[in-house]
Amino acid sequence: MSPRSLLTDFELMILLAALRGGDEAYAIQVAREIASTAGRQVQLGAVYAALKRLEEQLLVEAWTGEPTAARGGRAKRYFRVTSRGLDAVRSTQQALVALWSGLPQLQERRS
Amino acid sequence: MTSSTFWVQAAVRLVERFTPDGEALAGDLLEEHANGRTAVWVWWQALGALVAVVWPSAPSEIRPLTLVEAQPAEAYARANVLLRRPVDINLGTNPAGHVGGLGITILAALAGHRAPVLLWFLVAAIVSGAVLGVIRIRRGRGLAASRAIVPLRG
Repeated sequence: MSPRSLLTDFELMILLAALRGGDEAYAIQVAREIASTAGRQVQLGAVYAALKRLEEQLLVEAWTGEPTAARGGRAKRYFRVTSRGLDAVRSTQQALVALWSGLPQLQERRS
Repeated sequence: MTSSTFWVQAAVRLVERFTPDGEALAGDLLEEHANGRTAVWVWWQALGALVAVVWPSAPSEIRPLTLVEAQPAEAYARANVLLRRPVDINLGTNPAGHVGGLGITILAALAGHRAPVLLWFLVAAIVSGAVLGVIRIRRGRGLAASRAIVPLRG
Protein backbone atom coordinates (compact mmCIF):
# COMPACT_ATOMS: atom_id res chain seq x y z
CA MET A 1 0.00 0.00 0.00
CA SER A 2 1.46 3.35 -0.97
CA PRO A 3 1.67 5.85 1.86
CA ARG A 4 -0.39 9.01 1.71
CA SER A 5 1.14 12.35 2.57
CA LEU A 6 -1.65 13.41 4.95
CA LEU A 7 -3.55 11.52 7.62
CA THR A 8 -7.29 11.37 8.20
CA ASP A 9 -8.57 13.04 11.36
CA PHE A 10 -9.08 9.68 13.07
CA GLU A 11 -5.62 8.42 12.11
CA LEU A 12 -4.12 11.65 13.42
CA MET A 13 -6.00 11.23 16.73
CA ILE A 14 -4.81 7.62 17.01
CA LEU A 15 -1.18 8.56 16.38
CA LEU A 16 -1.29 11.46 18.84
CA ALA A 17 -2.93 9.29 21.50
CA ALA A 18 -0.37 6.54 20.86
CA LEU A 19 2.44 9.08 21.23
CA ARG A 20 0.98 10.09 24.60
CA GLY A 21 1.07 6.42 25.59
CA GLY A 22 4.82 6.31 25.10
CA ASP A 23 6.67 3.35 23.67
CA GLU A 24 4.11 0.79 24.84
CA ALA A 25 0.72 2.12 23.79
CA TYR A 26 -2.20 -0.28 23.51
CA ALA A 27 -5.69 -0.04 22.07
CA ILE A 28 -7.70 0.55 25.28
CA GLN A 29 -5.25 3.23 26.36
CA VAL A 30 -5.54 4.93 22.95
CA ALA A 31 -9.35 4.81 23.09
CA ARG A 32 -9.34 6.24 26.64
CA GLU A 33 -6.90 8.99 25.68
CA ILE A 34 -9.07 10.06 22.74
CA ALA A 35 -12.19 10.00 24.95
CA SER A 36 -10.63 12.04 27.76
CA THR A 37 -8.66 14.49 25.61
CA ALA A 38 -10.85 14.93 22.54
CA GLY A 39 -14.19 13.96 24.10
CA ARG A 40 -14.86 11.39 21.39
CA GLN A 41 -15.98 7.87 22.32
CA VAL A 42 -14.41 5.39 19.94
CA GLN A 43 -14.98 1.69 19.39
CA LEU A 44 -12.07 -0.60 20.18
CA GLY A 45 -12.63 -2.37 16.85
CA ALA A 46 -12.23 0.93 15.01
CA VAL A 47 -9.01 1.63 16.93
CA TYR A 48 -7.60 -1.78 15.98
CA ALA A 49 -8.64 -1.33 12.34
CA ALA A 50 -6.96 2.08 12.18
CA LEU A 51 -3.82 0.81 13.90
CA LYS A 52 -3.67 -2.09 11.42
CA ARG A 53 -3.89 0.37 8.52
CA LEU A 54 -1.18 2.56 10.07
CA GLU A 55 0.98 -0.51 10.62
CA GLU A 56 0.65 -1.46 6.93
CA GLN A 57 1.80 2.04 6.04
CA LEU A 58 4.76 1.62 8.44
CA LEU A 59 3.56 4.56 10.55
CA VAL A 60 3.36 2.40 13.68
CA GLU A 61 5.05 -0.82 14.66
CA ALA A 62 3.29 -3.47 16.70
CA TRP A 63 4.27 -6.42 18.81
CA THR A 64 2.53 -8.92 21.03
CA GLY A 65 3.13 -9.10 24.79
CA GLU A 66 2.86 -12.03 27.15
CA PRO A 67 -0.54 -13.69 27.75
CA THR A 68 -2.01 -12.91 31.18
CA ALA A 69 -4.66 -14.58 33.33
CA ALA A 70 -6.64 -11.32 33.60
CA ARG A 71 -7.11 -11.46 29.83
CA GLY A 72 -8.20 -15.10 29.78
CA GLY A 73 -4.74 -16.21 28.65
CA ARG A 74 -4.72 -13.80 25.73
CA ALA A 75 -1.79 -11.57 24.86
CA LYS A 76 -1.89 -7.79 24.62
CA ARG A 77 -0.93 -5.98 21.42
CA TYR A 78 1.41 -3.02 21.88
CA PHE A 79 2.07 -0.18 19.43
CA ARG A 80 4.80 2.39 18.95
CA VAL A 81 4.80 5.32 16.52
CA THR A 82 7.70 5.06 14.05
CA SER A 83 9.84 7.94 12.82
CA ARG A 84 7.86 7.78 9.59
CA GLY A 85 4.68 8.12 11.65
CA LEU A 86 6.13 11.17 13.41
CA ASP A 87 6.89 12.73 10.02
CA ALA A 88 3.31 12.08 8.89
CA VAL A 89 1.97 13.77 12.05
CA ARG A 90 4.24 16.78 11.50
CA SER A 91 3.23 17.07 7.81
CA THR A 92 -0.45 16.93 8.71
CA GLN A 93 0.03 19.49 11.48
CA GLN A 94 1.81 21.87 9.11
CA ALA A 95 -0.88 21.48 6.46
CA LEU A 96 -3.69 22.08 8.95
CA VAL A 97 -1.97 25.07 10.55
CA ALA A 98 -1.40 26.55 7.08
CA LEU A 99 -5.07 26.08 6.27
CA TRP A 100 -6.13 27.64 9.58
CA SER A 101 -3.91 30.67 9.38
CA GLY A 102 -5.17 33.95 7.99
CA LEU A 103 -8.86 33.18 8.46
CA PRO A 104 -10.56 36.12 10.21
CA GLN A 105 -13.66 33.96 10.85
CA LEU A 106 -11.63 31.76 13.21
CA GLN A 107 -9.94 34.51 15.18
CA GLU A 108 -11.07 34.81 18.80
CA ARG A 109 -13.50 37.57 19.55
CA ARG A 110 -12.19 40.01 22.14
CA SER A 111 -14.73 42.02 24.09
CA MET B 1 -21.34 -19.97 34.57
CA THR B 2 -23.60 -16.94 35.15
CA SER B 3 -25.79 -15.54 32.40
CA SER B 4 -23.60 -12.42 32.13
CA THR B 5 -20.42 -14.49 31.84
CA PHE B 6 -22.04 -16.64 29.16
CA TRP B 7 -22.89 -13.59 27.03
CA VAL B 8 -19.45 -12.06 27.50
CA GLN B 9 -17.79 -15.34 26.49
CA ALA B 10 -20.04 -15.55 23.43
CA ALA B 11 -19.04 -12.02 22.35
CA VAL B 12 -15.37 -12.75 22.97
CA ARG B 13 -15.49 -15.92 20.88
CA LEU B 14 -17.20 -14.06 18.01
CA VAL B 15 -14.53 -11.37 18.08
CA GLU B 16 -11.73 -13.90 18.29
CA ARG B 17 -13.12 -15.89 15.38
CA PHE B 18 -14.05 -13.14 12.95
CA THR B 19 -11.81 -10.11 13.46
CA PRO B 20 -8.15 -9.56 12.67
CA ASP B 21 -6.22 -8.95 15.90
CA GLY B 22 -9.07 -10.93 17.46
CA GLU B 23 -6.97 -12.35 20.27
CA ALA B 24 -5.81 -8.93 21.47
CA LEU B 25 -9.29 -7.42 21.20
CA ALA B 26 -10.84 -10.41 22.98
CA GLY B 27 -8.31 -10.00 25.78
CA ASP B 28 -9.11 -6.29 26.02
CA LEU B 29 -12.83 -7.04 26.30
CA LEU B 30 -12.26 -9.63 29.04
CA GLU B 31 -9.94 -7.29 30.94
CA GLU B 32 -12.42 -4.42 30.73
CA HIS B 33 -15.28 -6.70 31.82
CA ALA B 34 -13.19 -7.79 34.82
CA ASN B 35 -12.63 -4.08 35.57
CA GLY B 36 -16.37 -3.45 35.79
CA ARG B 37 -17.63 -2.97 32.23
CA THR B 38 -21.04 -4.52 31.61
CA ALA B 39 -21.88 -7.36 29.21
CA VAL B 40 -23.83 -4.81 27.14
CA TRP B 41 -20.66 -2.73 26.72
CA VAL B 42 -18.74 -5.85 25.69
CA TRP B 43 -21.39 -6.71 23.09
CA TRP B 44 -21.45 -3.13 21.82
CA GLN B 45 -17.69 -3.26 21.28
CA ALA B 46 -17.88 -6.72 19.70
CA LEU B 47 -20.59 -5.67 17.24
CA GLY B 48 -18.61 -2.53 16.40
CA ALA B 49 -15.54 -4.64 15.65
CA LEU B 50 -17.56 -7.01 13.44
CA VAL B 51 -19.09 -4.09 11.54
CA ALA B 52 -15.58 -2.65 11.04
CA VAL B 53 -14.60 -5.96 9.42
CA VAL B 54 -17.61 -5.91 7.07
CA TRP B 55 -17.17 -2.24 6.14
CA PRO B 56 -13.57 -1.16 6.61
CA SER B 57 -13.49 2.62 6.34
CA ALA B 58 -11.11 2.98 3.48
CA PRO B 59 -9.41 6.34 3.65
CA SER B 60 -10.00 8.45 0.57
CA GLU B 61 -6.86 8.54 -1.50
CA ILE B 62 -5.51 11.72 -2.99
CA ARG B 63 -5.60 11.08 -6.70
CA PRO B 64 -3.73 12.92 -9.43
CA LEU B 65 -5.68 15.07 -11.87
CA THR B 66 -6.63 13.39 -15.12
CA LEU B 67 -6.82 14.99 -18.53
CA VAL B 68 -10.58 14.70 -19.00
CA GLU B 69 -10.60 16.46 -22.37
CA ALA B 70 -8.70 13.52 -23.85
CA GLN B 71 -11.58 11.15 -23.04
CA PRO B 72 -14.16 10.28 -25.69
CA ALA B 73 -17.55 11.87 -25.08
CA GLU B 74 -19.31 8.58 -24.32
CA ALA B 75 -16.71 7.64 -21.69
CA TYR B 76 -18.62 9.54 -18.99
CA ALA B 77 -21.88 7.77 -19.79
CA ARG B 78 -20.08 4.40 -19.81
CA ALA B 79 -18.39 5.12 -16.48
CA ASN B 80 -21.68 6.19 -14.89
CA VAL B 81 -23.39 3.02 -16.10
CA LEU B 82 -20.62 0.96 -14.52
CA LEU B 83 -20.94 2.86 -11.24
CA ARG B 84 -24.71 2.39 -11.11
CA ARG B 85 -24.82 -1.28 -12.04
CA PRO B 86 -26.65 -3.33 -9.42
CA VAL B 87 -24.54 -5.18 -6.89
CA ASP B 88 -25.71 -8.57 -5.66
CA ILE B 89 -26.17 -8.54 -1.90
CA ASN B 90 -27.07 -11.75 -0.13
CA LEU B 91 -29.87 -11.03 2.33
CA GLY B 92 -30.29 -14.69 3.23
CA THR B 93 -29.21 -16.12 6.55
CA ASN B 94 -26.96 -18.61 4.85
CA PRO B 95 -23.47 -17.42 3.92
CA ALA B 96 -22.41 -20.88 2.64
CA GLY B 97 -23.01 -21.98 -0.90
CA HIS B 98 -24.87 -25.13 -1.93
CA VAL B 99 -26.78 -25.37 1.37
CA GLY B 100 -30.45 -24.64 0.87
CA GLY B 101 -32.97 -23.04 3.22
CA LEU B 102 -34.38 -26.45 4.14
CA GLY B 103 -30.92 -27.63 5.24
CA ILE B 104 -30.48 -24.54 7.39
CA THR B 105 -33.94 -24.99 8.91
CA ILE B 106 -33.24 -28.63 9.79
CA LEU B 107 -29.86 -27.69 11.28
CA ALA B 108 -31.47 -24.90 13.31
CA ALA B 109 -34.22 -27.23 14.54
CA LEU B 110 -31.69 -29.86 15.61
CA ALA B 111 -29.49 -27.27 17.29
CA GLY B 112 -32.51 -25.68 18.97
CA HIS B 113 -33.67 -29.04 20.24
CA ARG B 114 -30.24 -29.64 21.76
CA ALA B 115 -29.73 -26.12 23.14
CA PRO B 116 -32.78 -23.81 22.93
CA VAL B 117 -30.62 -20.71 23.53
CA LEU B 118 -29.15 -21.19 20.04
CA LEU B 119 -32.54 -20.32 18.54
CA TRP B 120 -32.14 -16.79 19.93
CA PHE B 121 -28.78 -16.55 18.20
CA LEU B 122 -30.47 -17.60 14.96
CA VAL B 123 -33.24 -15.00 15.36
CA ALA B 124 -30.66 -12.32 16.20
CA ALA B 125 -28.58 -13.32 13.16
CA ILE B 126 -31.61 -13.14 10.83
CA VAL B 127 -32.71 -9.74 12.13
CA SER B 128 -29.24 -8.19 12.19
CA GLY B 129 -28.43 -9.68 8.75
CA ALA B 130 -31.56 -8.12 7.27
CA VAL B 131 -30.86 -4.74 8.90
CA LEU B 132 -27.21 -4.74 7.77
CA GLY B 133 -28.27 -5.75 4.25
CA VAL B 134 -30.76 -2.88 4.00
CA ILE B 135 -28.15 -0.42 5.32
CA ARG B 136 -25.63 -1.72 2.78
CA ILE B 137 -28.07 -1.35 -0.11
CA ARG B 138 -28.90 2.22 0.92
CA ARG B 139 -25.22 3.02 1.33
CA GLY B 140 -24.42 1.54 -2.08
CA ARG B 141 -27.09 3.70 -3.72
CA GLY B 142 -25.78 6.79 -1.98
CA LEU B 143 -22.23 6.08 -3.11
CA ALA B 144 -23.31 5.44 -6.70
CA ALA B 145 -25.20 8.75 -6.76
CA SER B 146 -22.31 10.71 -5.24
CA ARG B 147 -19.72 9.16 -7.56
CA ALA B 148 -21.40 10.24 -10.78
CA ILE B 149 -18.76 11.47 -13.20
CA VAL B 150 -19.51 14.76 -14.92
CA PRO B 151 -17.32 16.24 -17.66
CA LEU B 152 -15.67 19.54 -16.78
CA ARG B 153 -16.92 22.56 -18.73
CA GLY B 154 -15.27 25.84 -19.62
